Amino acid sequence: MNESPVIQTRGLTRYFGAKAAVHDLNLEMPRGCVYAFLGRNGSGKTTTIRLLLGLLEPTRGEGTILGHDIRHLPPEARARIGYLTEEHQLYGWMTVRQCGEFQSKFYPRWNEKIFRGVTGHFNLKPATVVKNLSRGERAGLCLALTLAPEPELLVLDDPALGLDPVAHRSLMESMIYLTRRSDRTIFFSSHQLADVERVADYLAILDRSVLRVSCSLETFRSSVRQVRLQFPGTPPPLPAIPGLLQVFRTESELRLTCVHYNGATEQTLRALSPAQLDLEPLSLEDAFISYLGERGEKSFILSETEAQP
Amino acid sequence: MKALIQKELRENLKLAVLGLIVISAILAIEIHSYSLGMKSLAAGRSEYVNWSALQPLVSPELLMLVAYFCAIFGALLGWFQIHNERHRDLWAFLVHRPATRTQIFLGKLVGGLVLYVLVTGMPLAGLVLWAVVPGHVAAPFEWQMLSPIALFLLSGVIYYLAGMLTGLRQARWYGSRALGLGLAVLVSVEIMDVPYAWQALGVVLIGGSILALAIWGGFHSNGFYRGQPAPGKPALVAALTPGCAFLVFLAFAFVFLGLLHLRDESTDRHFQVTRDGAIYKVIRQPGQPAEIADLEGKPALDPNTGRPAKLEDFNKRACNWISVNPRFDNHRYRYRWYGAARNELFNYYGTTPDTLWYNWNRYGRLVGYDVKTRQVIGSLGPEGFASDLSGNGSRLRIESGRAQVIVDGRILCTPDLEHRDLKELFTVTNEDCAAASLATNPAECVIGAVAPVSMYGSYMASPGSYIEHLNLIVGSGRENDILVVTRCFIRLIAADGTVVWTVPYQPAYPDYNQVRVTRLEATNQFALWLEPSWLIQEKTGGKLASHVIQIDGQGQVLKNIELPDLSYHPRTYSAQDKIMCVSLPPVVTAIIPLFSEQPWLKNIPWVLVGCSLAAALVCLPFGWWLGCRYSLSLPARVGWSVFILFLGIPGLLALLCAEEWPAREICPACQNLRVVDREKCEHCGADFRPPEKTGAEIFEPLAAAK
Amino acid sequence: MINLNINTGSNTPIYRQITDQVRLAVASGRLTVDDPLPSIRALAERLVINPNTVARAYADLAREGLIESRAGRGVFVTRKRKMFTREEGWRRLEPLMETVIGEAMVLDFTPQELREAFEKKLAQWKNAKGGD
Repeated sequence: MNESPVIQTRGLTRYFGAKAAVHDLNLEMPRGCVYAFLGRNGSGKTTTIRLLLGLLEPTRGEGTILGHDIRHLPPEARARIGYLTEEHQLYGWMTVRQCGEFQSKFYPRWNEKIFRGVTGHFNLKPATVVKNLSRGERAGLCLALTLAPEPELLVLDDPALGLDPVAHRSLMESMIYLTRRSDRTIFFSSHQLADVERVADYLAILDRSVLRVSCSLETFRSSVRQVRLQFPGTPPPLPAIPGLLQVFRTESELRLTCVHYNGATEQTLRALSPAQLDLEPLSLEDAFISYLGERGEKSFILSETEAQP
Repeated sequence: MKALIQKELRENLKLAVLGLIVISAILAIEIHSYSLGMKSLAAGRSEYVNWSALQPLVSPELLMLVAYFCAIFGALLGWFQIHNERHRDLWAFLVHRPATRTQIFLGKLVGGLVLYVLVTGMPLAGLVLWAVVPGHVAAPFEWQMLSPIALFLLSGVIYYLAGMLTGLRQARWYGSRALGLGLAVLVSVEIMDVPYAWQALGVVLIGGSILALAIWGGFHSNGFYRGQPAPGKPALVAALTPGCAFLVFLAFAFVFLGLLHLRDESTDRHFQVTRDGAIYKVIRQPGQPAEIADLEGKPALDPNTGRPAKLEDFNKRACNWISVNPRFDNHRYRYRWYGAARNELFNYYGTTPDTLWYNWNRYGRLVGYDVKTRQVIGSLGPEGFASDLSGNGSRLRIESGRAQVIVDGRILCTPDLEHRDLKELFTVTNEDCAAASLATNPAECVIGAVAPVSMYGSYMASPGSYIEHLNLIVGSGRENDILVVTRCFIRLIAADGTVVWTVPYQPAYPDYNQVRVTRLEATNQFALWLEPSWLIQEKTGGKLASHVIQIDGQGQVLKNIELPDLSYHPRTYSAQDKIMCVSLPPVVTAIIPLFSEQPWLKNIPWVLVGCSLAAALVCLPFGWWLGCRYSLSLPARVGWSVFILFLGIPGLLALLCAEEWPAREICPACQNLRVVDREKCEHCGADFRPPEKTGAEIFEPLAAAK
Repeated sequence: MINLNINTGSNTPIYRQITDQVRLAVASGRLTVDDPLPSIRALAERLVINPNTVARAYADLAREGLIESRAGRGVFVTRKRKMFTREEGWRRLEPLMETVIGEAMVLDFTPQELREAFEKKLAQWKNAKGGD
């Protein structure tokens, strides 16, 4: 079993104009896992995927995918990588059957049973023209086309975008189905944290073009903690805390989220003499939002507008 | 790859069918209008006949339509083939598959070319088939006539490639994307310019290879300049440069000629003969009224006002000339291949009530086509009429546009088409030349030029009605006279063959190869003007004088005046020439003589090349500076600099269009601006600093699945 | 086979939801010794979650001595072995008791009411277990 990472980058950077869309990315993705790639819109996720698949030239840095340099992916490597774009775009004039026939001529390992299975599951008739398919049906067809060559690495760019719940569930089921074989790896970017929670082993977070998180789901959840401090009166100002994410202040309470909560942090907090100090659990979604949200003291987005009489 | 080709065929079928309909309609209309013209001619009416389209395969309208169609359809097809993927973000889908980019490129190319060939080839093949089968077209056919159509078809492929490149290129402004079309335009202009058809083919192949290579590179780099394999970059630059050159040239023309009205401002000096036989010298300096004075220096006066004459009024009194350039060798002026295919193979000669007659150079005979059946009825040659095309193999010498034919070089005949016979008018004998005591080779004693008076001369001093003009030359009743120039004599011959007057051809050919004849006001007086050839003037530096010879109605010389050559002067270039050359690449300025069929090395316009080179030298440091600023590699900088040196301002523009400029940031180590695409700072060698940590990073090594 | 559900977006990680549900089922008698549990793969596909999550849940349960994997035949509930010391057991119980008592106080139940409800619940469980 090949133990080298499926995807590896070193200093991968891409500029658009004067701005870096991906900045100094150092990623390592081992074989056989499900890797979720998260970040806000415009943080560089799609750019990263395009760089990894040789669809965009890096400004500097390097990377390998399945052991091949990303700048010169040979056809054999591409045969082993399945790529699903977020738009689920296909040639509008082809029928479902023609799409399958077209793709099958290129891939040596085309599995027609999988193709029929997935298209059947999405209720796609072979004679329907792609133009007349709904978004979800198109996604199903794209999924069928991507899964049929039995790729070792599946790269999905926001695969659930625009899918109805049934199609969405089918997508999730397909991803789980793929994990049957331990040499299959899935790399997907998503905004659906529920999906991430379900299927991902590891997650990575891109914050404004920079990779800030790469760890298992467990580690992330345990690293981001929420602390509630209750005070008898108005809470005092908060001193600097390393790893502080967000602070919510109410009349008698300070709620803060931070990373790497440890003894020193607790000491600092206790020094404020709260009446009560509780560590509270966070859902993955809340942890993610507070990690990527605006740092510092926060109030609800529209509350300033209400302050005026 | 076969799957790709099939997909391309299916995907672009709609556009192909549309194109097929358009070209078929165009050709059908041409065929129909030809048939209509022929049918009406058979019925005796000639107003529907398109006299320039007697052989539709070489008619200017048809060729223009074919050329435009091939170019437009080709460009659209190429562009759409890329647009199909680009505009729906399907590029990733196309490219991410187990096939090399070269295979994908070839798949598109082959698919597109098959469609192009079918759409343009099938209807044109149909047209050719129709024209070739006897009984459809009442005009000569030679396979060589197909070369213009064939080459326009090929140049359409260049447009196809240019369209594909336009769709493929990722460039900020759409205008920069479309620069590839400049190369296509250059190719389609040049193929008509070159002397031989195989050279035109070479031009097409070179242009096509450049574009194909640029597109191939673009497939590898997804349309960007950077990331291409090595041959793609120079090909792309070469593909863009002609477009840049056009832009720069147009910009200069707009500014200097359009806005600033810079014009060729040189003094014009020439002699003019008025109808009374007097000779005047006309000097026109820019911005000043013309000075007109006679040979003694007396200014010409307006007869009505007594004041110095104005040029327009003076020109009304000037003579109109018949002008011929006699030729005494067998060398025919060689059109460039394009013109040859259209003009040199045959010419329309005339019509008799049911026959169209052509001068067919291949056989050297007058060939007749029956208008009703549109088939050959026979040919007229020196020995008379034969019912096939070549008769006994003997040939006539027929000048295009002249009614008279020459047999054997010495006998001037007028063809009588009604009776399918030749009527002899005049014969040259050796005694002619011997009598004039000229030691000439008998073989040279041939007819050099023939000019029916009814074809008016080339220099018309003032516009006037045709009849009035004829009268000016020879007077009424003499419209059918013929001017005949032999090696030794210049003669005017009446329509029945009697010689009106004979004048020795002195000074002789080849130094003097321009002969002009006109009639003067006084009854039966004529003037001849013999001018030296441009070649001899170049050689002697303009020393030879032209001669104006005044004769009476019998050929007696009354006056023989020598006039110095005013219009020859050493080649100088106007400010307009120099400024427009600043906009041209130095290599183009250096090869300008090639276009005028002069020996190249002797005639390189060094002054103009200097202007272009000066512009290139100004652009060079700017190009070098750009290379340094954006930290291009040394070979790249040198390469661009050499390129700009050879290609001037367009080269710099091509650099700006093609290259992709990396961003620059401040290096924290040395505080200079450094480019972002190099690992180490080009000034201090420091690496890039990784982005600042926020303290909130969460990293752990990831283990593979068990 | 037992019916397990999971929720995403909860404060409890998915693997813990599984272990909690299995534990509850065992404790309430819905699962008894030698009852089979779905295989890791089957459960993962049914719940549409990563098999590693299921694997982790099963590993935790196995460590607690609640289930065991029998070679070739699958995962079964096993006789409860004493995996926890008394102290550990109380440590696990304390926070749960806090939650119940705290909630009851907020809802204005008196301690006496709470005690009575507790006794009733215990009796119910005893009956359910006894009734099997």
